[in-house]
Amino acid sequence: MVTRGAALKSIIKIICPFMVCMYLMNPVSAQKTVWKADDLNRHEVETLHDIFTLTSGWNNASNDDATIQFSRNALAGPGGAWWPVYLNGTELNVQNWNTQSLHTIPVSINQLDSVVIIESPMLYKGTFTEKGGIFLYSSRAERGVHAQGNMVFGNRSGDPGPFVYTEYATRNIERLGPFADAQLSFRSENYGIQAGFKHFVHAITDVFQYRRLTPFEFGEGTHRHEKIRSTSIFANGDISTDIFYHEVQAGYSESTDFLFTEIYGTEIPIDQKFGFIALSGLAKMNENVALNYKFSYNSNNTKEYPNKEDRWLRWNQQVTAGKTSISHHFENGSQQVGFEANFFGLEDEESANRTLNMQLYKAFHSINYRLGSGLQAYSNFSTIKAKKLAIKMNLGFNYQTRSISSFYLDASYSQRLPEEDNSLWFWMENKGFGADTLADYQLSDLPTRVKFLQTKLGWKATISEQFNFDIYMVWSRNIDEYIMNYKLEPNGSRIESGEFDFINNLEASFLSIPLKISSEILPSLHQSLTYTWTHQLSGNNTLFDMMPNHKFSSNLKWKPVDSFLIWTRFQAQSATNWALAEPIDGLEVRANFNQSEFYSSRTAALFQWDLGIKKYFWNHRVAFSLDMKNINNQNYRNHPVGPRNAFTAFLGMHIDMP
Amino acid sequence: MGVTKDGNLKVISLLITVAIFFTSGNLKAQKFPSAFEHIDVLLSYQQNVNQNYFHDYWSPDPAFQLELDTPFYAGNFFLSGRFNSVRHKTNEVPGFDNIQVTVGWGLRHEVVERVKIGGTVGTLFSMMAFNYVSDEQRDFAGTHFGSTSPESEIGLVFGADISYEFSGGWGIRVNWNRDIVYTQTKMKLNYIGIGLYRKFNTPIWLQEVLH
Repeated sequence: MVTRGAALKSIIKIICPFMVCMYLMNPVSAQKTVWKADDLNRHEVETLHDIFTLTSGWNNASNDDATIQFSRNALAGPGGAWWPVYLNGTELNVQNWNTQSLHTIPVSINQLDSVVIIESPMLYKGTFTEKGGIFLYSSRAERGVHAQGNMVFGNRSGDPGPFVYTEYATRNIERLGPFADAQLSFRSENYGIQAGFKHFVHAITDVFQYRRLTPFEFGEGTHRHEKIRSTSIFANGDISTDIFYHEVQAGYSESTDFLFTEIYGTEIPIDQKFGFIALSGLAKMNENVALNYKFSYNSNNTKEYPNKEDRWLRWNQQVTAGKTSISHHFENGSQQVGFEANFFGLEDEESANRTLNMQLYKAFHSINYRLGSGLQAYSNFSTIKAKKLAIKMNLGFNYQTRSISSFYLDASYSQRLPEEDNSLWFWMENKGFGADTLADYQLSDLPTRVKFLQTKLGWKATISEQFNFDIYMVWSRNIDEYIMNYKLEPNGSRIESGEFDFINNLEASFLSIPLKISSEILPSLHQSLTYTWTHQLSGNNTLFDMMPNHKFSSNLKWKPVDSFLIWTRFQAQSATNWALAEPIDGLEVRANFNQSEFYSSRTAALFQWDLGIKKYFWNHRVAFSLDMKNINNQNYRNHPVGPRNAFTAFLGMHIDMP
Repeated sequence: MGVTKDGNLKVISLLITVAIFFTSGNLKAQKFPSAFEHIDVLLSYQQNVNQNYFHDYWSPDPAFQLELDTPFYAGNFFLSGRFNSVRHKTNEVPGFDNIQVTVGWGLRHEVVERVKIGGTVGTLFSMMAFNYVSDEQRDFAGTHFGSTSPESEIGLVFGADISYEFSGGWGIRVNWNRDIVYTQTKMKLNYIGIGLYRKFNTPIWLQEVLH
């Protein structure tokens, strides 16, 4: 039977001295959020969306609240670098048209062993995460054959019920799901293989979204619902000896989706195909030195589907990457030095059917060193060459006192090239992408380098094995950042992009204080609490009022016996204002003859209570879960144009066959 | 877009229930030998007793409910199904058959010998199949983008009961339930019921599966 927390045990035996231990020994590891399998279970995380909701420093602006389709402007502050997304160490290029579609990643949350979320600049596994990164690790079986499957159905309240025949008639709300996944794996002494699939359907029945999508309706019948449908497959194999470890993985995802883009200011139906294949591994040169390598190929093919309003949206991109590094583990620390090359190709069929190219070359070095008496120092450095050269660096100290406390100080400075963002703006301005089809959306100059500074000072107390306390203060400053400051304008009851204001010299600074407390009140009762206060110190205030000043989450999980658990979660967040939605504030959208809703540029303060249970049967082979979200039924939108939340229940069946 | 008064009341009720749950004597105990040791099978007659805007259009007939109730790690776990035929009072709307499945949890306390009082909370899944939908009704619903096919919705149930156990595992139970079905305009229905139950010892093999 899989114990996801222990699943990597055999692999760790080989790679621990070089890769995993470097990560574990890194003093700043305390500052990143690591969601191990137990954590994912503890918080009853069902989708990646749940993780981002619970992670303190991230402000999710997904436009459907179930899948993850981020827009850059809502991420981690202004404009923002992308958070690179990695699966088992391989970068997945799932971004297109300035959005990042994490739901197209071909593994589900149930198939993951752990999720590492980084919210700060640091070098993690040879990647400099300027403003953060997402590192996913798929679960692996221990010895033998293992099968696992999950099926979840959701029901969001708010249907008309019998009142559909009365003056109280409202439009129908579709069920959520099914969310289904399964995987089969086998592991012997020296090798393992696994294969899995994922499928989900997500109906879009929110009044705003439904009205925005009406012109794109396809299918027959009076009660059509637009649905995101996605199907993925994933396979992975690894082999190890005393000296070598090699891993090959591949995944493919196909979906019909709705992509919200700044250019059009609304969702465009798309057909998206994403695939990747990767080979990676390491060779032990001796007890302390290892050579790591990685090759990968990503393909992302997106096109509008259907295209009733002649809105062009294509993104046919291939990314080929190679990376190598040497890890050195010595008595007082470890270091890593490496090189990476990325080759991007983007096809532009409508403009003379040409392929646009771009190359990125990176070199990096990291070291952490025990200075003695509980004091550790670390340094991360990376340089990137495209058309220009950029540098990124991060330095810090960690001091462990003889008592329960440790203190840490961290500082970073990074430059970012527009090429790194792989953004629509870069390809349009520097490479002429969409010269014929996007001629109405020309930009002013992109900055040559964006700069970002951050310092962090923190105190962590491990009062006992059962009680941890972590508080830190983060100051950050963005210089020469670029952002598309656009407004959503009414077009009847629909919306579209209006005035464009491309800012290429934006400066803004922020101060935030996150607090994290976790404890085991009893061996079977675990609680965690996070709170983050954020304040903007300088820069254009109206652009960043969409970031909540206060964000709070409290989780409690009780597992009285091995076969039953109950969990509850309370979330709160302060109100936000979205400048981009000011022109549509108060815009009425009629769902039917007697039902209206109104756009608002302000989202109300969030107070949400969730509760769930999970019961295992037959020695944990079968389990049923009932999860209730937003029991207090607060009508709440995460984003002015996002869907309205309401009381929602999920019923799940889980199979785990050893 | 704030929290509704109705929402506040439910939150308070459920918080109290959860508080009872976490502060119950069983919390510290890690063994629950009595869980699933017997199953009560209850058949009851249920009558809707309140009046509100729902009753401007419909009148629920007497309903019948089948319930399975078993000791849990703390309190009791129950699963119930209720069939209710709902007559229409005006020709604007069709009547419908309602099947409601509820999963819930409760606490029961013996106040005098053989007499127990209890409180329950549960999550309901309500399915409504319309009897006959005229063309006019179908058109009306269609213009509102509603569905004339069987409807379903989730909701919450709050209840209280009193039971008396005869000898031989037989007993009688009287209950009051407040059902809140979370349709856009909520269906808030109070039921009073009376029923007969029989206690069965759970077979060992079934206890092992359930544990």
